Amino acid sequence: MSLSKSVDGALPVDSSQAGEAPADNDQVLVSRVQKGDVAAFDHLVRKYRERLFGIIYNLTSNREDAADLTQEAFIKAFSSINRFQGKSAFFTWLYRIGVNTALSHLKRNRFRRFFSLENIQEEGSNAQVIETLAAKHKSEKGALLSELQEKLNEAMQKLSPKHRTVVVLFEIEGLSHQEIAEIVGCSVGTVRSRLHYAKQQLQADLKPFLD
Amino acid sequence: MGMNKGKETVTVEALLRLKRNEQPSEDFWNTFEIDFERRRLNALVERESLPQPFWPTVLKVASVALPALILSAVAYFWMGPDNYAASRSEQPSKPVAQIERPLLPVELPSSRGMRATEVMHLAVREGSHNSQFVLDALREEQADRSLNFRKVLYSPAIHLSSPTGSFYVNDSLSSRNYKVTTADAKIGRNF
Repeated sequence: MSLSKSVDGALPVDSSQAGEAPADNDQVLVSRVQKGDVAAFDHLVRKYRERLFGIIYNLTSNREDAADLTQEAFIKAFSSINRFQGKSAFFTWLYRIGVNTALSHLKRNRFRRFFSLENIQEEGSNAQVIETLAAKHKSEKGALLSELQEKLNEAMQKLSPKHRTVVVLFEIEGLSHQEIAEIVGCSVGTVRSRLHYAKQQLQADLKPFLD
Repeated sequence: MGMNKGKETVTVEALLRLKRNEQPSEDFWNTFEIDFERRRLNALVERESLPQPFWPTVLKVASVALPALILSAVAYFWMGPDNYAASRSEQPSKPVAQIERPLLPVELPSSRGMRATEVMHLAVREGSHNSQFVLDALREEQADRSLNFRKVLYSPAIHLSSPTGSFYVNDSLSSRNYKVTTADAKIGRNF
């Protein structure tokens, strides 16, 4: 199964399912799981694991915790799939479980934080941004990337979990305000306002890279 | 894209998008899949080994206990706390009238909207106790013209089902209605 992440804003898609209506397909899979077809849930796991992991990873900044919490979120979804009535899209329901699982984890471990990060791949528009930054700072790309990743991570972790969630879902995962509002359980206005505030904070913290 | 080539500036959005490419390797997903399968099996086993689902049991118990609780609470407030406590602690005195044969059930007039089965007309033998209040003694004339007395009992729930606060007990033998007064109910009249 090959999953690819789009580089410039669009949601990551499963290339093997290009052309299908994702919501319909999810609905079919969910209803099969609800009838006891466990294998159908495996399809959903393979379809959403990267994105769910991405959300949780960017909330926790720890790859081991993120892997554990992603599995936990899938187990929760599997256990309570009979309660899913299809009023919202499956992925918003799943992401809500994932976000809540991650936020609970952050709350429980707010004084114990270890970061372990994945490497940033130089691909597409990323490569361009990195080139620009390297030229501007007259530094070697590898060193720049490490520093940038560290600063990005620090800046993200300075945000409150609520603000971080909105930034992750909007800027990194590319979800709409409406989808985020459904996942987080607040109004679209609140999502916009949290996003605005969070970006101001990030702007201030990442100033050396932005000037 | 968040980057202005002319001025060579980078935006916050462009920096944040770099994080999209922080992705784990294929090995990570292989391990993930194995771990997840193990955890899911554990979850399935745990779920199936639970003795009984929690909520259905609670609901089953609540469906029985709740109406009883509500009726008791209403009875308590309707009768007044003092009388209720007194009537609860009061033991029926020794009956003066002996019951010689099983009695027919007392039926409430259907026009009052009460269920006949809810009024129990029990044969209370000497020494037996129950939580019902004695309301009246019905005099019966036997075939041999001797007199017999029996007690009409009611449970608090019956009285409450009356929309006006009072009701009638119908003696199915004599077809007479006996009005149960509030005073009867409150004192738990005995014989």
